Amino acid sequence: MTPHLEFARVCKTYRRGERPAVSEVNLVVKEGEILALLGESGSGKSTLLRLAAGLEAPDSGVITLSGGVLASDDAWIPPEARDIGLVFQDGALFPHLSVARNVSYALSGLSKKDRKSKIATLLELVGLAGKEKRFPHELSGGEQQRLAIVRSLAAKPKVLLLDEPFGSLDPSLRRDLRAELRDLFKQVDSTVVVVTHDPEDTLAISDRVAIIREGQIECVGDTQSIYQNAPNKYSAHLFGPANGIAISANETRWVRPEYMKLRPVGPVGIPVEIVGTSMNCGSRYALARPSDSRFAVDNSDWLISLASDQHVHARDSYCIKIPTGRKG
Amino acid sequence: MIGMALLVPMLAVMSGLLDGGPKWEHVQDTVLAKYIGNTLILVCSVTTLAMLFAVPAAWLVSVYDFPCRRTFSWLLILPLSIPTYVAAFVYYQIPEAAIPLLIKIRSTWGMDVFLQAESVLRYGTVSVLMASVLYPYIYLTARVSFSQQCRHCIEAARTLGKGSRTVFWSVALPIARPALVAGGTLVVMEAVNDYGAVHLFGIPTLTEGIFRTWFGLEDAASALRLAGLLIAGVMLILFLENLQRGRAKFSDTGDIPDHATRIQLNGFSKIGAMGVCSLPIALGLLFPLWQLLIWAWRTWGQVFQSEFFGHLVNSFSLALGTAFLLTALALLLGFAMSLHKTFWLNTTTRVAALGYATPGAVIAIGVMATFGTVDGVLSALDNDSLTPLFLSGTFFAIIFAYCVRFMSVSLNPVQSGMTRICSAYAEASFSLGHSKSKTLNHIVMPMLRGTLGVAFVLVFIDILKELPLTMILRPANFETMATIAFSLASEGRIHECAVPSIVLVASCAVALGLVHRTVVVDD
Repeated sequence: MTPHLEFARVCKTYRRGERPAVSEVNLVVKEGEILALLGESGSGKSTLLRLAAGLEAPDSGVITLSGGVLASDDAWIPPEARDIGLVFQDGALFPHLSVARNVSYALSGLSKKDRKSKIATLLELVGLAGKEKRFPHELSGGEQQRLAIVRSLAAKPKVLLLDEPFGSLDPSLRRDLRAELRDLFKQVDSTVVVVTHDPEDTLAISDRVAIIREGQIECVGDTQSIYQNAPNKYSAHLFGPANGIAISANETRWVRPEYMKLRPVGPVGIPVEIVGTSMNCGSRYALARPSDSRFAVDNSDWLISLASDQHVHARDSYCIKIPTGRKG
Repeated sequence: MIGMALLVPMLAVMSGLLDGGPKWEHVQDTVLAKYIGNTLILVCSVTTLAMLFAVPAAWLVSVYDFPCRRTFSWLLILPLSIPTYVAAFVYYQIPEAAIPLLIKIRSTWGMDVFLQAESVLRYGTVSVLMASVLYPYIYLTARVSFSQQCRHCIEAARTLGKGSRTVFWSVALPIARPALVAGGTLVVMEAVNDYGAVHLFGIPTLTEGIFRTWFGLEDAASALRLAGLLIAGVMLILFLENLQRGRAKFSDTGDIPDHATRIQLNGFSKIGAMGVCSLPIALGLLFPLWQLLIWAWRTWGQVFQSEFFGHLVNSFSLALGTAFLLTALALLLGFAMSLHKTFWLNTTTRVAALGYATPGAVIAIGVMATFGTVDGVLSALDNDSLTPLFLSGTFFAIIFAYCVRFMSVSLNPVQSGMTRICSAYAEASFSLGHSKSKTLNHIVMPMLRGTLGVAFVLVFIDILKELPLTMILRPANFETMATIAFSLASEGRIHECAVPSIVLVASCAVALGLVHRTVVVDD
């Protein structure tokens, strides 16, 4: 895949004296890929999206699309001339226009007949056929989001930006829509950047992930490999629960309960062995996803039993209860 | 109870529709068509001009960036501090200055053309002066709509490849329509309510007609019928707008972005934008203020006498006292509504809204009719009484009328504040075992301090400026800044009305500044 949308040393500060919203960001979005921008609230991910869309101007740095400069110290392309679509969290559907007219608004240079057939095709694509005459507030949350996306796709943008597209949806709808959208984007071969703070969204929809922290890119890479082998502790924890110990991987050590997120009901040190796939986060810290962790007691002095298990972040997570008594 | 009390004067006026007075036929045959025609002409021309002043300016300061944009954004609100009758004192010079030109027209084209030109000049001047001080009602609502409510839709339209002109016509303007209609309705109400400007310029509207019929023809029943016609017209406007919206929803409930990058204007567009923003400020603020200052400089010696300070005290004590009363009532009503959303409480809100939409003269007539009936009953019961007037012509009557007219001005911000922040906290307080009064004192009032301040200041401004209602209901020999300024102008002593006018304008401007600091418009 070739570089498509590129940020080079991009900086943006909203108010003088404040921490930069985006600082020295270098990022490449490749053609045809779905890249997730994962970060906590206020980390600068939405700012990065608005900079790409042209709704904010960078203080310094260069943003390019297919080699053409969108924003730099000397050049500025306004949002309407960028060929970049943006889907807001709330959809930003035009409340005074029907479903069909919302889509029609994004189409240009078509005859009335072609326009009608294009609208029908697009609405069919996202399961909104038959709802052409409805107004946005007469649609469900998922339908509104699908309409917002298809409206942006109608303008045939070179890159589609999605700002927390699942943020206002309930969990079951969210799960369904994620799968639908990934299929849709692959079907129409779109280059997509999705901003999210949810690791589940990231795992379900993206090919690659860029983790952003306090306005800077922490790491970029293939989503599955970053999940399994995050290059640092912050990125690993952002992606979901992980068991951590302050040693190298595959080593047996006395581990303090707090590293294991266990209640300190037992003695301070518990012998635990972490085996399986673990992540090396520096020389003195190791992490393993719950599903990859095995717990062992080295001399069987202490009873460790599985108190409960939950399904969290699509992986098994175990809550371990340590009784106060020794094994009899 | 409060809702019912507020409704009584309205019912008295509406009952007037059923029964015309002894001179109704005369009014109907001779002047009614003229009253209605003039009111319609004025309403249409003032609202159109106010839209033209307000909407482009609001769009420019919300979406674009150009020199002095921030200064323009608050200067554009200030003409609201100039009452229409004060602007009329200043603009009255224009027809006077045009007399030589009119004489020339008469000598060149004859009497008919002269009369037409004179009418156009008179109606045109009144329309411009009213629009230039009333447009901020539309400007404020349009500004909030453009910069907050439809911000996401505007941005979405731009990312769909539409230029800012297309975005304005196809997205921003349709979405802002309810806001524009809300602002426009206020302009219509104020134009209909005006008595001072139309009286000075000799344009008999329905409001002027009420005065003429009641006090000139001494026919209270016919005046009530005219007032009833006005209320019916107001209700028709509100109904038509509601009907026209159909199924479409116009509000964008999206989150308001913290930051908004404005489009930078350059070259001629920059100068053009500054010109568009400067015109309403020049017409509605600078020209009247400049002229008033010149007149005040010439006449302050004649005006500053002991009587003047008495009128000043009257004005402020009446406005401050009633504003305090109305704010307290709004707090109690708002709190009760947040706890129990009953039919009667909701009806009270609607009645209060109708009160604000009704011209002051109409409410005054309603209060006079109601209190006149009560006085009649009381005097029949109390045969020894020397005076049959127990309520009419008292401070109680005028304060009650202010409550009917301005209840919604104080209730609306308090209600929205209650909904926004207080209901959950109040419930938390109840769950901790505290009584309603303790919750109101210790939780609701401290949290609503800013909102209560806004409500108080808005009512204060309205009462200070109110003319027709005060003229009709004030106790004998009781003058306020508004009535004294109008009396001086009516006597032809226009220059002398500058000092009380400046006091009014300055007080309202300071109060508006306080409101603007509290109610932050996105900048």
